[in-house]
Amino acid sequence: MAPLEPWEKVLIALGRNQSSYSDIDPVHSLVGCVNCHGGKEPAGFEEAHDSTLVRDPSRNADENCSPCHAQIAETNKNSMHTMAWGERTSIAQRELGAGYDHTDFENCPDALVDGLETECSSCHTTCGQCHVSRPESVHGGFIDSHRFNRTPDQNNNCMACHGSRIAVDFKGSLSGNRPDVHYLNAMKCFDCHTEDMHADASMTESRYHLADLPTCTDAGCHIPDSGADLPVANQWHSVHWPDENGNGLSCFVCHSQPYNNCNTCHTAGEWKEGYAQVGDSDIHTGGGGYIEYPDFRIGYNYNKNLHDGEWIVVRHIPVSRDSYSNWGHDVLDSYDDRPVWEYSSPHNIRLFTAQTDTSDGATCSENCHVTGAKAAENSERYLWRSYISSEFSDEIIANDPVTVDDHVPSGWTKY
Amino acid sequence: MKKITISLSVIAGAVFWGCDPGIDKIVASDPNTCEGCHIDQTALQKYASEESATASGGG
Repeated sequence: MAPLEPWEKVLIALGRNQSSYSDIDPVHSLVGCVNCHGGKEPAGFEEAHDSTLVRDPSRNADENCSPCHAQIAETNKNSMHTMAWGERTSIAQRELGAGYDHTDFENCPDALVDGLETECSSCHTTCGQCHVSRPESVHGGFIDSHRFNRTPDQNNNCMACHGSRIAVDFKGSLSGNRPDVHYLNAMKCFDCHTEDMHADASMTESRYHLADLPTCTDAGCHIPDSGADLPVANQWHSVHWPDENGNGLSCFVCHSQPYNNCNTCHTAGEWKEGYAQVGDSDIHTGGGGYIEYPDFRIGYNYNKNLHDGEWIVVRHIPVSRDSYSNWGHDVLDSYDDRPVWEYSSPHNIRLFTAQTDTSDGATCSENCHVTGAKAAENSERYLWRSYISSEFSDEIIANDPVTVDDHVPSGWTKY
Repeated sequence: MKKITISLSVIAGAVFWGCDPGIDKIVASDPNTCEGCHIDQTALQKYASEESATASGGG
């Protein structure tokens, strides 16, 4: 997402029949600019923008948002977006060990705690970065002339942060991909994501632990065997639909296209250097060895309490043993305790994918099972130890739980 | 009913009076008000100098 020009970021553009900001947002205009932003008024330029001026008043939600939105402001202090609980869990597990979670994060070395509280928290996030302006990750700017939007804007808010993976997936930007079928049907983020974004999530390890996270069967959208008129009642689903015993496939295994993976994220903004918009080409490199690339890998689900099915789609996430060296923490002590190929939910769903497309006469199993004439070709859809060894030699132990070698059917060729 | 109407009018008036920053009319380019500049594209193009940077793309 290209940043706005400086003047665009702060322009309150009046429409026809509008004579002031009060015509854009009659309620918030009553508060007055300086009552939230500080500075002085009336005053000349320098005095108006003095040291008391605050660019994002919602960083101090207690003072500026709570007077009218007390309950939301209070619970939002501990929301997933504000606190990045999942990031705290992943750092705690890679530093302290697999048995730890976000509640142990404060026991990590000071360099990690301080780094997250400053660099990560600078984007995770404020009321204004969702409801007034673009977020800090794309350097801000009013979305609707400083109108407070009840529902965040999908492109300018949600996808500004969830850009290199979710947005790219959803819009089909990767070369060879098509847009997600839900995107083509004009569905918005909040059509599925009905979870309370402001809820206190302090008891939640990560976003995948949220109780009200969307599923494919929510709202009766895709219920198996619910009628012949629905495409979900078919022989493939009857064989592969995940059951309560932990068998079957995650929906993504059959219905996702290749998705962005990232390697070697470093802190202090190093990874952003040289970043280019995905869509121009398929490989993007940044500073410190950061790289993005498309891939599709089926892995073994070792946590069936959290995710359905024995087989899941996994994505290489941007972390490395020395990711936080710029914070003064050279190596994560328990890096091998958590896979770097993690469960993923690519937002690039299609009925027909490379796995399910039978238009060339092949069956689904011929497209996917590692047997017969296409065994070698199909093997590239799976996360094997040999693949980890050749491409990610520093992650052999960490990724062992998600590799498929010990779990594929006995008749399959192993790679 | 009349009492309620009057009470509401008084309360609404008090709230408006308490919150009103005291500016009766906004005029584009008026250098004395925040809004005067921020509704004026020409003025902002002249004065806005915040350093622009490459987007991160997010996660």
